[in-house]
Amino acid sequence: MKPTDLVQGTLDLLIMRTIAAEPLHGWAIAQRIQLLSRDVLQVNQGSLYPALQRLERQGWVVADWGTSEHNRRARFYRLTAAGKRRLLVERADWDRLSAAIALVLRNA
Amino acid sequence: MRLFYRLAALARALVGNARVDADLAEELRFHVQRETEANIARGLSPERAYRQARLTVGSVDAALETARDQRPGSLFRQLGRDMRFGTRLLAKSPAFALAGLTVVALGIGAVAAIFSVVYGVMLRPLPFRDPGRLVSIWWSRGPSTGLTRMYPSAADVIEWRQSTRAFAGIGLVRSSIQNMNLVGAGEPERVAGARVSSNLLPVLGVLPAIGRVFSPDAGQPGDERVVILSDAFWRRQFAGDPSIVGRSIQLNGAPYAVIGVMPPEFQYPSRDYQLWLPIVFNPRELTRELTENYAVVARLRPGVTFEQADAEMQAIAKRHAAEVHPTWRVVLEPVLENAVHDVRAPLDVLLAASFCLLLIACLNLSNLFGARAASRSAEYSLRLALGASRGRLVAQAIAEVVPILAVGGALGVAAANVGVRAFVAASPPGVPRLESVAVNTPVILLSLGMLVVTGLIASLTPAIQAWRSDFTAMTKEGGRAVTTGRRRADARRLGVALQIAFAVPLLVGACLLIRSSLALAGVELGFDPHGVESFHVAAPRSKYPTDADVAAYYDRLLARVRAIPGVTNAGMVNRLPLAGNQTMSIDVERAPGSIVEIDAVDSRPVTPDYFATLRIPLRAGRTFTSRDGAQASPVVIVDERLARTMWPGQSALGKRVRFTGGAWSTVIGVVGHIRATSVDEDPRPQVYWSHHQVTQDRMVLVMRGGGSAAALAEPVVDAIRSVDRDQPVYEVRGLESVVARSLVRRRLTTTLISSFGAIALILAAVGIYGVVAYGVTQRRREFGIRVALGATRGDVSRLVLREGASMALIGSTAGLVAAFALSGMMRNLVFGIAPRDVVSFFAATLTLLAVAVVSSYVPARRASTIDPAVTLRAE
Repeated sequence: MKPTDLVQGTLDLLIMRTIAAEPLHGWAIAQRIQLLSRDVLQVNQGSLYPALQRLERQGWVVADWGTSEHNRRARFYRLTAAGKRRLLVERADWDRLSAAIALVLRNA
Repeated sequence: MRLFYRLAALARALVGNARVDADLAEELRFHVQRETEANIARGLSPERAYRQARLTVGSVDAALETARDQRPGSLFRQLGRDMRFGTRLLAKSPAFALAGLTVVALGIGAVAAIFSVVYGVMLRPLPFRDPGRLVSIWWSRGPSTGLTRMYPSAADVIEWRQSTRAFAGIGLVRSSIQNMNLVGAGEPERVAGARVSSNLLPVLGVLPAIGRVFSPDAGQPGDERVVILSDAFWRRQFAGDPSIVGRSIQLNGAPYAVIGVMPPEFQYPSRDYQLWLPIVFNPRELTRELTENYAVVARLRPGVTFEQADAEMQAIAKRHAAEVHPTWRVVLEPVLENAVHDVRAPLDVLLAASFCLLLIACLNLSNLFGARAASRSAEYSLRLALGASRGRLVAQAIAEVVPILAVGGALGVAAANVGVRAFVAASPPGVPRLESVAVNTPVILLSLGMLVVTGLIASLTPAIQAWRSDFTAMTKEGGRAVTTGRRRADARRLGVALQIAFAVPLLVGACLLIRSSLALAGVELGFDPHGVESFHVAAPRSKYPTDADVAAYYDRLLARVRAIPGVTNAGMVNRLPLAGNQTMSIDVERAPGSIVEIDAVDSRPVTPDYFATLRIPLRAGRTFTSRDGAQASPVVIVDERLARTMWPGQSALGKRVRFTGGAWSTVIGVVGHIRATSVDEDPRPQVYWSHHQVTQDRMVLVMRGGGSAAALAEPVVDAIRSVDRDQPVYEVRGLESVVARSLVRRRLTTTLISSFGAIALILAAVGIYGVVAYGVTQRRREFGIRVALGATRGDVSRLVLREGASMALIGSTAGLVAAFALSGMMRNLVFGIAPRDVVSFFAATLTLLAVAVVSSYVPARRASTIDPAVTLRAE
């Protein structure tokens, strides 16, 4: 599956889930998604960074400049409190939706 | 908290765009670096690792671009970019930009200027409390008499006050100016005062800025000498000293206590008035033995509607008119309507004309931009092919319109501002509320609204053009198509036809007014204003208590003036012709026992030499002499109109006339009839009294001097002063300028409408030329083929001329219909011709057609010189 095929809301959900545990910079987010999806989902920066900016603008995430693993300046994204609540809601939505789709696919 | 983050992000996006971009760019660089390192770790060479990283990561610029477009406010940035692009394009074709700017500035300027005047004079609320509740009350003797606005008397008002319930208060203002001679420091000055009822200010709902209103007893014995000052007079004469209230000033030789100063916006009945004094009623007024005229203004009681008040007044007036004047009717009118009654017709016409002009300008602009868009159709299809959306094309087509509108609109409003100032300075006499005319907020709001409408109309053609563009246009337009864009050309022709249609009413209006002016110039005034100077003088009763004193003072003045070398005649009259009216009702004895009342005649006390000075011919009998003194038997001079209508076929000499209810006077002379009211109206006959027998304390000295009367003005003023130092001489004017002033308003309307007509004509000519010339360049190939197939040069130019003429014909036909429908507006403005004057309609249409042919002639000539060999080979 090509990254462009990711539905917009889905990428937001994946990003928020990825940084839920700890703050990450952009590249690490892309790597983590690729890794966890076993290379199925590749997020290119043309959609990653606009999505991050969008999330930032909506107040779900904030970013701070910090030092990366190789001692370089990088921008680390973390969830805000509102972002954490949002993630719960979106996850529940997604679970309900995918379960529903699975039901249809299995039983139709 | 989330709100805070959102606001912070928005603020960063709006304020620190550069920061956000720099942050993002650094992030993206970091991303590529990490990707490259990861690739190297997988064993790629550094170069391949970097290349691979760039490939998987994608374009940095594209990511930046997407991120930017997503940011809030990106629409505005887009607009700004388009605007800058449009401005750059315009800067590259200054001629086009200049044409556009001129058209916008003309259209908006005309509307803004005229609307400033209309708003200031007709629409702006009066400076009274709740002015919508104020009504004027008049008598009317019926529309057929022409006397539909007659002043009520004090007795009328007292009766109304007792018998009506509709009004909270009824106030009075004496119709004649109370002239006061102010003697203080410097030259004596004449000040115009208004005699008002003590309740007038409460009725109007205006309080003095300093001091108090009149007490209810003001004007009664013991409380007569109180005065309220205007703001302007107070500032000029007393340097705005607030302690003047409570002090007393010398007016007409008597002390008056200043009780208040009005706020600056209070100018009532007009800005000429600088003092307000209480009315001192003559007891005989209240018994109707004597009639003074009053303007009556009343405030409706809360909860009472205008209609209810009108109905009540009609019933009461009918009852009481039955006793006094059986045929009279009472007229109620909202105060503002009454204030602008005379100027409404010309202002309506001017407003309509300016909107006409603006519409023409809009259409012109639309065609101008349409033609430009058409010439860019190849560019549009290229952009489309490269992936621009149609919406973006339209946005860019409009982007050019906006700077033109903004700059042109600003220029137009600035020009209107200058024009309005000039207009107010030129100040035609008798235009009410002129002081409130300015380019103010409502005018600017209207101009902005008009700009938006102009923009919409002007963007229509280019926007449609841009939207309709397709990939193939690129090849078609520059290519071999013989005829192009039928629909597009039709739209432009329709635009021109419409411009012509709107120009026709303007031109017809201009022709009607110009013909009216010509007719007016040919009017026989009945007197000769050339070489006559006039001087206003006054004789206050405090110094000249009896009529005999006043008349003797005037005789002394005249003797002194006549003694000046160069003065050939000098006389006096209480009021110059064409400078306001004073009407009286008189009884005429047509035959012994048969007495006829004439409702209104122009009545003027004069000195014997007045007729000779103005060269008013004596038709029969004699003029007054010094023997027609106060003690001699009363005499009167009538004009030929009165003599002819009252005593047809007989001599008027020896017949008798009197003020209604007064003593009989014998007719001793008949003089020529003159235009006394205005040049364009001649409603009344005239009678003259000897100034010894009917004495007025205010007169105008008229003097005719050999060659240059104006040069004698100074010696005359000195001579008048030498008789009595304390009396002011004011309004020194040539009689010709008095005549001109009486026509100023009409001349102004004529000038404005004519210049609108001229501008409309120029715009129409430019419009026709543009469309026809464009048509010729588009059809070069067609003409080439025609010529090659045997068409003569005449055939080709006729073809082109016909195009221009057909637009003009269609447009002017529609325009004539519109002009015909609108001609009713001109009814009150034309003189000597009908509002549907055939000559004017014909002349306007002919002018337009001629202009259409001339403007098509140049392109037609160019078309006829097309060389088929060159044209066909070139493509």
